[in-house]
Amino acid sequence: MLATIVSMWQNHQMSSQVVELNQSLSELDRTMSSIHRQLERGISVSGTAGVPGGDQYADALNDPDNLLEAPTDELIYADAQEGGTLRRLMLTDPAGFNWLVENSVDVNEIMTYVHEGFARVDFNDPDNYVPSLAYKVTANDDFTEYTVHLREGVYWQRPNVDMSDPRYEWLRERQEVTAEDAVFYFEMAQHPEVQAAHIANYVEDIKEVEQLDRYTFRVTWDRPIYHSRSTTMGGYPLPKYLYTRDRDGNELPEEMVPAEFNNHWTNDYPVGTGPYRFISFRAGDRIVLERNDDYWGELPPIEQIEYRIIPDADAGFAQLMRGQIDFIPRLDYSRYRTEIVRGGDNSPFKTGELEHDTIDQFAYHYIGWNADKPLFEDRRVRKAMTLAFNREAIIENALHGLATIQTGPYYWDHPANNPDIEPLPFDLERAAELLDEAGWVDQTGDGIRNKEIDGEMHTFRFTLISYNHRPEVQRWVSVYADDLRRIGVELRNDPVDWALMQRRMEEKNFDAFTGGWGLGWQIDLYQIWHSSQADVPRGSNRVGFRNEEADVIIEALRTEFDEDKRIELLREFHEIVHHEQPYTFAYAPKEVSAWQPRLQNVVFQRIRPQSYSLPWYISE
Amino acid sequence: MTSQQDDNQTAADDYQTYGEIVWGQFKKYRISYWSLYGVAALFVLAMVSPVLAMNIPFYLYVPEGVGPETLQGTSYPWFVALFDQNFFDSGVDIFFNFLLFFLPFAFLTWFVTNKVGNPAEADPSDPPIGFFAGVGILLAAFFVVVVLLNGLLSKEVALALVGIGITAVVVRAATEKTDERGRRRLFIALATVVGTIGFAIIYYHGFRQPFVDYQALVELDDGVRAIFPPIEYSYRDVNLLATSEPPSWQHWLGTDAIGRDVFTRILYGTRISLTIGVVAVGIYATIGIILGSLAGYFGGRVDALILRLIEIMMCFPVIFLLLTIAGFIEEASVFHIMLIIGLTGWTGIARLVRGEFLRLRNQDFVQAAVALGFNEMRIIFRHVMPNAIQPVYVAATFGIAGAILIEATLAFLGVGPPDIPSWGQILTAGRSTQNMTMILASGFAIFLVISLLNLIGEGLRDATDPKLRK
Repeated sequence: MLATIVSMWQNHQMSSQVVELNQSLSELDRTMSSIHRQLERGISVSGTAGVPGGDQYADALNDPDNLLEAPTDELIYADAQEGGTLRRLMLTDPAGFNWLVENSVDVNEIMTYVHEGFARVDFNDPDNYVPSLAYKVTANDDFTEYTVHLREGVYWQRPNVDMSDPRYEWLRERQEVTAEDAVFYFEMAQHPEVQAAHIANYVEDIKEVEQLDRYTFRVTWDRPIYHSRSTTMGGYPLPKYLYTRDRDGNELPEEMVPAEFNNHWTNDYPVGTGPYRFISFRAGDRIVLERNDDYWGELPPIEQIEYRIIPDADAGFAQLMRGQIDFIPRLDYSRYRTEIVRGGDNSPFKTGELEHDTIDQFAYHYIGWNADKPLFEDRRVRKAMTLAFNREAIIENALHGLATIQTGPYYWDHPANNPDIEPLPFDLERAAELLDEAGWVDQTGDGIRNKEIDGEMHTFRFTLISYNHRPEVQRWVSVYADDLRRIGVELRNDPVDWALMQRRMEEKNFDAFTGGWGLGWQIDLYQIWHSSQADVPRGSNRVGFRNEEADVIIEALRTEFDEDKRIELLREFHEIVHHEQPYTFAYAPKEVSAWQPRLQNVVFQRIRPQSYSLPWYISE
Repeated sequence: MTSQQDDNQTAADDYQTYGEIVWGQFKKYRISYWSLYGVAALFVLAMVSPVLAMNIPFYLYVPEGVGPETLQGTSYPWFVALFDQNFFDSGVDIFFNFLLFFLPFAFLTWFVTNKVGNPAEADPSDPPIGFFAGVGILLAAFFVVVVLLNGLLSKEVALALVGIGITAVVVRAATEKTDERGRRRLFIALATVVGTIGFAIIYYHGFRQPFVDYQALVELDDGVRAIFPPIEYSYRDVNLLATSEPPSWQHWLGTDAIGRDVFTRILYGTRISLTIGVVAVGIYATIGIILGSLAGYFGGRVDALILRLIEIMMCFPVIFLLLTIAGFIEEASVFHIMLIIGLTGWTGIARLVRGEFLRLRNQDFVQAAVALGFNEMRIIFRHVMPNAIQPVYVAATFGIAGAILIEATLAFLGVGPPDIPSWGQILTAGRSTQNMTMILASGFAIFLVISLLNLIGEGLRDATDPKLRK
């Protein structure tokens, strides 16, 4: 009996020693690969000796005609610890992984790990493009012809199919990325059968895309147009050798390719050229990415990224607390309040169990007024509506300070934001005066304003369609309704889901709605603000904003390439929007990301995707 | 209810109606009996909510030169605000505010006409002094009330109150010879009709008045005098300076995320929850009784058809069915929620009634009615149904509890207007803002009312069961 116990104890001792040994071995391994990576890095920094054509790429940046500039952002942290798995939270399943067809934020984020564009935006200075797959891009004087030079020796990742199956034998050979793949991207984006409506608007003005040699292609535009720069350089190659073949490697008839493209079999095995490879996706469970050790560029330290799909925010936070997840991009407002704002000394954020940071969401919320309805056709009425909206107090108390007041359609920190524009204050008296001025007076003594328009008596009572899955929006709508009641305006809140909301907006069947736009650094006002878009079915100018002066500016902006002049025009437009108040701009939300302290060097980028994990590393 | 109790004692003859037998039995189930009082107390609480909590003063005196001119002098804004649809944006509140005046007057009327002299016992040749005395007292009371409340209440309410007085007189005159049972039945019927008409007039007249911030006016403190209800909050006024506060003396259950007093919201939520229960069950009991009696009485194809319909309805998981129907409704109000619950819940009652009809339709009294050549509608609704309906009462009591729970479930799933102070919505808001007080308070309220109703249901079930007679 005693002997058994002793031998068990010894066994235990031994096994724990083995574990320790294993641990120290793996640590050694990690240190080795870390050293190895730093060595590589040293090589790449000290002039890319040994890499074929390395000088050519570095020299290209000195070429004055090259539109690309040297990056100022450091995406890979030099002293990072090697290895580990980063487990991040994702709220919903992506609908699919076809880079061109899918347009959700989640898929776009995954794409930034798995694939790359011809050029990418410098994270520190988002007006500049820096080399990615292309090392050189030149354009003619009026920006109608772009010549793009691709890097040589970049290979497509292999689709993560079951290679033991002989039918996939044809995939064994590595395929190089060529200009043919780049041309294929533009062909697909322009093709009417390809379901890429979000990009169709941008590529419709492309006249021709031609391949000049194996690594060079030229994009010709019909006319000079500002977004041609970002559309050309932000494009990315698509693996033509995959999309023109079926599962068994047989070539598809050419006319079948675009139709087949939308639901091509490789959509389940997305490939790219980026620092990570797509490994697997299980609906409702996780997406797994693995470091692409064949990557042509500098390798990130984290070996594997797992997106855990957890639709319930509370469950997600519980997993973060237990250490089953490392990173949550967005904490609930309520969680932020209970754990951080009012969290006592036992809050995990105080005890060091978790860390957090606040970042801008690159979006804004607004209330859109249907200017085609008699209620909101008058500018003064819309201005009164903004004056009655207590943004400051709502941000402070209902959103716990996690927002910035928005006054126009740009990101608040963008140079286009006109510094002379002060947000309208919360002033019910002034709002009431403006409504009186506009002829809305309580004539029946029932406490609600009326006005006779075209012989018909209108009552100032309107329905605000609001998005029902956002409790914080519902909260401020209640506050707003309460304030409007004080100045004789009745707001009826109608919370609906997204599908219904969209249908009503397409039918123009609304008085007002709560909305939100995601923002990009590149500003194109045409789609949302040009008067021609007000009458387009399913157009984005849902509020019916028609302003001749604004149209002139928007059109000028489309062909203006000079940054200073653009800023001037954009600021002028900001002023018009502020004067007209087609929207009541509400606020630009911030989000609070939380993570386990085992994640180190968690820096956030200035633009999307802000939580780009390349600089991060995991310390055990 | 109290009058029923009195009747039971005064009914000296040995004849007892079925209702009286059940009531006598029911009283023997103490817990159920007290639960009934509990629900009645909740009902009274729902009715008097504005007396306890409202941010509008009963009495206001504004000296000259202070505030807006229209408010100067003495006024009684609370009484007017009760029927202001700008302030109470839900018909449920207007209804309960109406009851707040209507019910006491109905009881007073009944009491006066019934107690002052009993003509059934008097010598018919005597001059009916008691009758005239009763009418006189009543009219005098009304006169005083109308004069007192003139300017306080809208004219419609005053008219409705006078209406019930006149009704009482009519009842009195019409029922001089009948017994108390008959008079009571007639009085309740007439009072219901008058009350419904009175409420309809008030509601559809749509009285509204401009907003006044009385609390700000009082804070001016230039000789402004006001008497507020004990809890100085309304269920909808937000206060961004006091959001998500923990319980305190000012806010007994704290405040929600936009600074509304949670206790006040729970209090007003009693109205909504009780209404949802009663109205939803009313709707589905009506549908169930009609379809069940048709199926049970006619049998054959009609029965087969209705039974299949019931089976199809029962096949659907209730929650999914509810959510689907809710998806079709734009601007879902609390009445839509009642309607949805009402339209989906009738199957159980239909089957109960059908079973009773199958049992009764071959009995002698029905055959007699058939032999007499009465038409089918008359046989179904006058002869069979009164005998088939008792199990429905039991099912309905449980049904009310179920409907309240379903409303809470729907609110939890995001269906229904988010701003109304229903318990389900408070619970949901509490969950989404991690406010434990709100979750516990609304959860307890739901638990309490559902337990009480289920206890009543059980007592009623046993009381109607002849085998369990005590």
